Amino acid sequence: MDSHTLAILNILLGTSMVSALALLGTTRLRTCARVLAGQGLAVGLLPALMSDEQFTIRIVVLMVGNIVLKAVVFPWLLLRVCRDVSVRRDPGAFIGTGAAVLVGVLCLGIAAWLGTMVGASLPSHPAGVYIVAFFLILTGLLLIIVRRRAVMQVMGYLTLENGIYLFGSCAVIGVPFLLEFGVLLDVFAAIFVMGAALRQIHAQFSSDDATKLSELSG
Amino acid sequence: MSEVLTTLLPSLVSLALALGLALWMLGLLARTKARFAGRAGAPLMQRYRDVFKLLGKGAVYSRTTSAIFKASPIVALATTLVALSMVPLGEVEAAVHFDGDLFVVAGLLALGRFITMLAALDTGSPFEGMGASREAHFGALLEPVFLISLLALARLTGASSLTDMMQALHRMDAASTLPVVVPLVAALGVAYLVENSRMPVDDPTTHLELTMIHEVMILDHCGPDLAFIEYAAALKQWLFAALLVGVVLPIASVPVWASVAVGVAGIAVVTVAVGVVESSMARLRLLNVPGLILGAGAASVVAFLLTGMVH
Repeated sequence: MDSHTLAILNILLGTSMVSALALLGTTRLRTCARVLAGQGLAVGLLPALMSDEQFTIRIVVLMVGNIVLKAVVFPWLLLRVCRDVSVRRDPGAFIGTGAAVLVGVLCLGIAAWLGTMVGASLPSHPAGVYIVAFFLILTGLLLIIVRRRAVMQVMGYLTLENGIYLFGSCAVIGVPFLLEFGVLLDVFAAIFVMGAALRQIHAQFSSDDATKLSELSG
Repeated sequence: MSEVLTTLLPSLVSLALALGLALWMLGLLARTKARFAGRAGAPLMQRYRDVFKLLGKGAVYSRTTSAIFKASPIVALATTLVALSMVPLGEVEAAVHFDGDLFVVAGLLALGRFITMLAALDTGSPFEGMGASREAHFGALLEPVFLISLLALARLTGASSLTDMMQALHRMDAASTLPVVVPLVAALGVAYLVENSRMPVDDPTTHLELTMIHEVMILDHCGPDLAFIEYAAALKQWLFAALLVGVVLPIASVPVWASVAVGVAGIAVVTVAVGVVESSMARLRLLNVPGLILGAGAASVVAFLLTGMVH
């Protein structure tokens, strides 16, 4: 890997990482959706830099599909849900944004430790890729735990998915094209269903606050 | 002789430039802000006139103050001067450098802050006590951020002297150090703004004591004492700008005199950039300042953790 590729790779990895920390530190949902779009773009571009094969049709189609879905369609859907259920902010459920960022930094420490170990046994890619992949997975989980708005938890799920995709695209070599695309379709369907379900929940309970969704309603 | 010409002389010249141009840098900052506001702005040399005017005046001391109040401007200026002599200007060696001097720099800055707070409390004025309390609050939060940033740099370069750190950093591959340098610049940038009482944290031009941090602590100082404090503040701002320039500018393998010029130009760029930030941002609510410092802390820890990734 030459120096220019490494520079671009590092910029993309840095963007993904900063976007995850920004998600933890932001309460405004519309901003979060836009940050998530940036993260989707960065993560979507990464496989182009890491694949051994040059731009084959397979890679291009997968990349374009990923970027279109994660940087355009999902943020658009999320912004629409935010507008429809008219939630603007998510102050967090158990801990505030400041503490969430601190826990995020702790997660980065764990991810750095895990990523370095995995990187040592899979030296085909720089260790940074694994670190960021683990970091996105942990941040996604953290977002789902510490936020109260269901929209925000969907964003946590998407961050988690970004991490898994990043890890999968470099650790697992030679996954059939169909399988990768199938996963992407699954995520798409999941987000679609979540969007619809959110609207229903909102219509039923007039709130999507997860801390209030503790009783069954007939 | 040749060694004197290539290492000692440039460091002394860059230190002299810092002493001479620090007030000009403040003038440049004021000019940038004035231009953004559509005003012509004060002359670039206005700060020199202010300081010389103050030096020519006598000092008045309140009967409630003790020797601490009189000592504080001198100690503040002295600590900043010594700290400045240990900070390299980009690629140019600092006049004084030894292993571990980064801790000395952080300690001296803390000492300067401590004595200013003591002097503020010494006056017995409730306003100044309030300023000292805020300074202590933000200072306590910021010092770990500043130290972790410098330690990240030390871990990245394997050196523990600021001069060696900067020189080693400039010789590393810029592409591979990028993940460390970007959060580091963010953390040091916030440190610059907080330490120098700049806009998102403290409004240096406000006239309302209730909202001040630094200015309210020095309300009772006048004459030469105030001149010392103003000059020390200018030097401190130069020090932080020099640190930022050292981290950002990948200047290596240029003639040493050219790097002196590049360093000063870099400081001017940093100053104008701070002017732009100040003109385009409102001051944060005091309650939100710890959040900003916390973000900087996260950035510094990220930089520290990622140094392991670069190797």
